[in-house]
Amino acid sequence: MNINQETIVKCLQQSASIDEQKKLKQWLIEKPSHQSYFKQIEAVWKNADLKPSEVNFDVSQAWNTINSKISSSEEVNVVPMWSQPWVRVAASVVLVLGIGLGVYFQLATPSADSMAMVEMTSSDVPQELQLPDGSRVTLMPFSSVSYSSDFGHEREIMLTGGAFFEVRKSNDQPFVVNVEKLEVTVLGTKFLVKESDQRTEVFVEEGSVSVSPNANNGEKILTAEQGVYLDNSSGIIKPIAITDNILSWKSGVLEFNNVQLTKVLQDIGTHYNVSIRLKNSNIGKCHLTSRLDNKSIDEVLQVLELVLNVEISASSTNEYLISGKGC
Amino acid sequence: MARELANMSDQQLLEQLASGDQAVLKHYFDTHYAALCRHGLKYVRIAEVSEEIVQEIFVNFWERRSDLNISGSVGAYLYSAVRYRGINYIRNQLPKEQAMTESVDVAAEAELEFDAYLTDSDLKTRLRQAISDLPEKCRLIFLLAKEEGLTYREIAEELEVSEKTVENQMGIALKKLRAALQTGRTTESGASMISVLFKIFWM
Repeated sequence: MNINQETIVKCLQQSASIDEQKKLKQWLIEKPSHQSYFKQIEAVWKNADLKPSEVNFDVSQAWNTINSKISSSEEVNVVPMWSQPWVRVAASVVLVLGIGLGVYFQLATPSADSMAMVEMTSSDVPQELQLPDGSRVTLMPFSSVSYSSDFGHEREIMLTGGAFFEVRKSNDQPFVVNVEKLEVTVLGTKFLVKESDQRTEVFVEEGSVSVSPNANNGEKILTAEQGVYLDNSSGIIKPIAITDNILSWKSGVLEFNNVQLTKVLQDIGTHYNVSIRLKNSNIGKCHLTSRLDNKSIDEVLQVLELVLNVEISASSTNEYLISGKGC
Repeated sequence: MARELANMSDQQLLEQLASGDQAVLKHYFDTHYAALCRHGLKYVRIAEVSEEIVQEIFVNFWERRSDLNISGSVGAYLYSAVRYRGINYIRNQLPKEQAMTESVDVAAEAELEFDAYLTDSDLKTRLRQAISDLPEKCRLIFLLAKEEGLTYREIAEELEVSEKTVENQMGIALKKLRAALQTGRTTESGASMISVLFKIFWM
């Protein structure tokens, strides 16, 4: 007698019909070798462990991969240029300028497609991207840049949030960064633009830039290691000190050179998105000299505890309290 | 913020995702990524491939965020996506003819002697090794029959092969796994001779 292989498998799967089970029984009593064969298959079936072996996956690295795929696919998701408010403004200006110029624009612009906007947005981690002209942008978390798909004719970019720019030098094509409150024009340099509700900051690492607030005609030239901020409500431009750790989000490095603790805690708070309070205001008078290179917040707090001889406890999520004598 | 997301229903999260909130994607990613990769390893076996599959799923999940139509839980959706893509990967990886190369005669093989001295854990380790040595498609067919209890016809439909191919591949899987129970008594010299003979026989 011959038995169908699937009948045996079905019996092991416990999905065999009564008929099939009978068949198997008959086959088994026919010969001892059938029984030993079945016993082996049964042992295989019962002991075969198909659970995947324990492998650890690097979740944060994988997220970076996905993040870059997502933002590069965002490039394909172009927003029609005409939906951007600033373009509508520009378009109305063209109308006012008269028909002659209008005709020129029509001739120079073959189709609406070539006027699409490219927009890129970062998540909760900084995101590096390259512009068509080879300039590099490092977006701060939760920021976005957009530019026209024919970027390169005019190197003009809209920014919300903050970003660090490394602009490829081009003498005849200025690179312009527009934020709500001001405009930064450069030829080739490395600089940061960052807006918040209270102020708009510009900081130059290398080269020089020109900063002009949108509210007035003033212009300020900044050179390497210089920074200014525009107070959004008063419209006044003031210098920022370079000890501000303004690029720490990008480098991961916080550096303090005999800095008063109140200022240190501000920088740490901004960098790690936490708030640190003092139980005793005297502690705030302590000074700190330290270089914190890509440390976790826990490591940073440990350093503070050791150096300042204080105790730090978490009062709630992302909130810490420092207690101790002070300096 | 993460805590707020954790309190929201899938439906609310999907709405937020559709509006372009990457934090929702990150939330699902953090919750499921490692487990999905492990799940993928059931089908594809190579960790890098499994990761690639899972990453593609998340990218796709994001790109289709505004026209996703998920009725059940997002977790279940992601798991079945891994299964689908995992099986697809194996199906597309090998030429179909390869499945037809070996066939098995059940009765002729029934004479092998079962090694009664193997402990359960020996047996499991040995089987684990043998399973990972099976050819991809063969292993997948065995897995679908054993873990998911599919019939030969269902497996054939899923993999787009004939039922005969499924039967042949199951035959190969069972033969090789049975052989794993019998070979490898390497403590005695005589036994290792036997194991070599068996290997030649079963290759």
